Amino acid sequence: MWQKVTKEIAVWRAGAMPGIAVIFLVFLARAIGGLEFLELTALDSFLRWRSPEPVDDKILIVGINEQDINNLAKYPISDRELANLITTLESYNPVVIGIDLVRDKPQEPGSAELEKVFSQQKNVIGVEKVLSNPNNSRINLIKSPHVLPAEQIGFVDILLDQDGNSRRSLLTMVNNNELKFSLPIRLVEQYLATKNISLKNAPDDPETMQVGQVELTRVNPQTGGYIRTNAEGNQVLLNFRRGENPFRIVSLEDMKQGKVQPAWIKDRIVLIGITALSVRDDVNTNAVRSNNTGFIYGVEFHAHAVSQIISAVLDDRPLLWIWHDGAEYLWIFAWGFLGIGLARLLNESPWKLAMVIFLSSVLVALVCYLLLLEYGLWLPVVSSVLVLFLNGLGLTASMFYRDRQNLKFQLKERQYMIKYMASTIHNRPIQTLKKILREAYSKELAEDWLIKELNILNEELREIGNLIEKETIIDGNSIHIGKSEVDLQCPLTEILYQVYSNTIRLDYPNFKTIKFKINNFEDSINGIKLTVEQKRSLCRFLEEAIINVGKYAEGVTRLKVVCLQKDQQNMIRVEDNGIGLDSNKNSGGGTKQANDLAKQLRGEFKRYPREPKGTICELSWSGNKGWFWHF
Amino acid sequence: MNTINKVTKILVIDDHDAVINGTVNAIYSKYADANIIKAKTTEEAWEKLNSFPDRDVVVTDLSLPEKPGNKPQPETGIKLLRTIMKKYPSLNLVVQSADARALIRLRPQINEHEGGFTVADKSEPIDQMLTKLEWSLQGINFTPKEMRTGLELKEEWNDLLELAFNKSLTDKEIAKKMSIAERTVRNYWTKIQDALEVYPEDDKNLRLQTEKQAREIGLID
Repeated sequence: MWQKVTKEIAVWRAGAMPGIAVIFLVFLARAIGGLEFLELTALDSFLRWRSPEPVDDKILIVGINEQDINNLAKYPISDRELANLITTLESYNPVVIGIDLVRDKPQEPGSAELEKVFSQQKNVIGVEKVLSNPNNSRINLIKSPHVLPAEQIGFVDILLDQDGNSRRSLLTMVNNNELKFSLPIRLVEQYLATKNISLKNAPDDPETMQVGQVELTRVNPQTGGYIRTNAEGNQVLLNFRRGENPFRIVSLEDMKQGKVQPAWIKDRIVLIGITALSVRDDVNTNAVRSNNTGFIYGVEFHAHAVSQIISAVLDDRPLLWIWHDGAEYLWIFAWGFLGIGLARLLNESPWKLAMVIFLSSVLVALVCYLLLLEYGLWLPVVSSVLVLFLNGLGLTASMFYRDRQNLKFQLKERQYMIKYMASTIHNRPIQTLKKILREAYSKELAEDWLIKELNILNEELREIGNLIEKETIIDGNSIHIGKSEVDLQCPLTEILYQVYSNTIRLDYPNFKTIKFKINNFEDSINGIKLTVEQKRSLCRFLEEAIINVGKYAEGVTRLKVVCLQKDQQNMIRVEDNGIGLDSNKNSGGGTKQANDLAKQLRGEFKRYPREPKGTICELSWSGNKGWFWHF
Repeated sequence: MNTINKVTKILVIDDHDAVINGTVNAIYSKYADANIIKAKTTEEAWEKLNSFPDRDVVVTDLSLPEKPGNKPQPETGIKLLRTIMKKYPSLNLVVQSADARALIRLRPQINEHEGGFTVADKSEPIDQMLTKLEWSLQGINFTPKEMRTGLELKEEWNDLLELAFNKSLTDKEIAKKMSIAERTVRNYWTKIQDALEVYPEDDKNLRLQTEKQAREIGLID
């Protein structure tokens, strides 16, 4: 059990590091704002996809539309028209009327009438704009109607994100040392007062506003997907009311002709504003399904802001909220980790993994969507899907790569085996056959002898048959040396000893003269850093070195093979006392491969004469475990 | 020291009831008061050995299952031997096997093992196994021919032959010269004798036999 755990840890240590690096890269991208746009876009899409809610009948919008402007043949509408509209509305007893129309200067005729209405009605809220930006005509200062007292004024400034869309609603702002309230807050305040619910400061944070039991959580610069956003004033995320017709909208003409039911107005909030494209009062948003793709009218925007607070207090409709930063990063980490885990679990089948990664990415998105839909929780969906996808996909890709590498090596193995089998057939059964044929031609064929030779031939052919049969079950973790396979997952000492043992049993002329072998295979040689392919190459190196003795070291009587670690150096050395390197052509095969291997291991390959005679062939490389293994 | 009737403590590992009983009965016939515990899987064997680490010798099959119900395989037995030799480097071992070639890969570790290590051919009569058991208890090494390719020696063993036969040093002096324990020198001797295929026979002097063999082959001049 413990061994299993240790092994698993080792696998994770090697395999999971890139995955964890990916997670932290995504963290970094998120922290510097690289994912802000995507997260906000995702939020818009999620909000838009939700199924429609019923019309919020606590709010009536009187929208002055294109038709109304044509009828009046004048814009802005005169003070008299507005005064008449307010008086008509008041006759139906609304709770409060918000006038989202600029009235900083008199619009004759009728300014006296409007002033009179304003000074008589305590439930009329006028508007102002308190922010200004000389570079942007849409952010300009607008004074409030001078006859209204301060508590009947609300500002209508709208905050835009960098992409030009609005997702936040301002509640209050400090301007010139004066605390200002927004139009929606003024409306909410008056409306809820009739239900005996008041606005106060949250007990745990005096800056946060609390309405009834509902806290209006402030947006801070890092809220949700936002990175260092402009978080001035007291602002909340806007959970737009869903559906194409979230509010009842009537026109000025409808009002004049009495096409409005009294019940739509009595005890309701009325918002008067512009719903005509020719007068620019609109807000960009992709979070709402509207008749006008990509934007809604300013008056609608304020209606959304009012509606979300009242519905939260009276109907328990969720407001948008977010987790703490730490929890969000943990959430992203968890999905990234799942990606790694899946890759580890399904590391045998890249296709299955790709499928599962795709499905779980969809699952993350779905979970995020449902949490937003049901509880108003805004989670970093893009970052989560990204880490899961990258990790899964990255590992999938590396697996495909490994698969292909394995195939390549298997192919090489096959070629090696075919060569080996061909030479075995040539050296043994064909030699036996030749012998029999020679005897047959000379007509001196003795029956006993023939039977004996045929038996030998039978044995030899059988052996080759077995070899071919075994060849069909080769996998990527073993190597053919001589007549049998060596498992590359054994300890390196064992692997190398088997290579030696298998190779020395082969039929090479000089092996026959060896009287004894000195071999020191010690556990100190470590293969912990080596890949399967490097181990494979080491095996081939040792095999080649020993075969070279068999082929070229004429007169050898003593073979010494050493595989050990000394002074932090791993070393494989084959030493013979044969005829030695007397000419270049007999220097033996595999020199190029040996040099390549040495380069790859950042080690050294040498082949040099031994005193008094013979050859030494030596490969050494660092046995340091490397910094990574010190963790 | 009381050398009479010292109880021999043995762990016998085999997955077949018949074989394990045969082995145990044979052992009792020679060591009547032996203390024998049995294990049928490598997992059980490892647990029992760790609970009773005072065993004098472990007699084990090579083809074993890891857990009850698993298929017995030589790889599993190899793995067990590898772990035992690592943790108990001086424990005496007897491996029962029909085909000892699977043990080749353990050669480097067997060469380092300080306890006795003998291989008993399963197809041989049971008294052969008892001989191997006796040898193992004496710290002797015996590995069959098919585990070797001719004469294979470690460099240190070769040095030992030189010091013993050409310089005529005693074990004690050899130990000093090679900076190893005297016990290790004795261990080397049995490894050399295994390599040279010199095994205890009733009327022969082992050291002389060893020297004769070594000179014949040309290990020493």
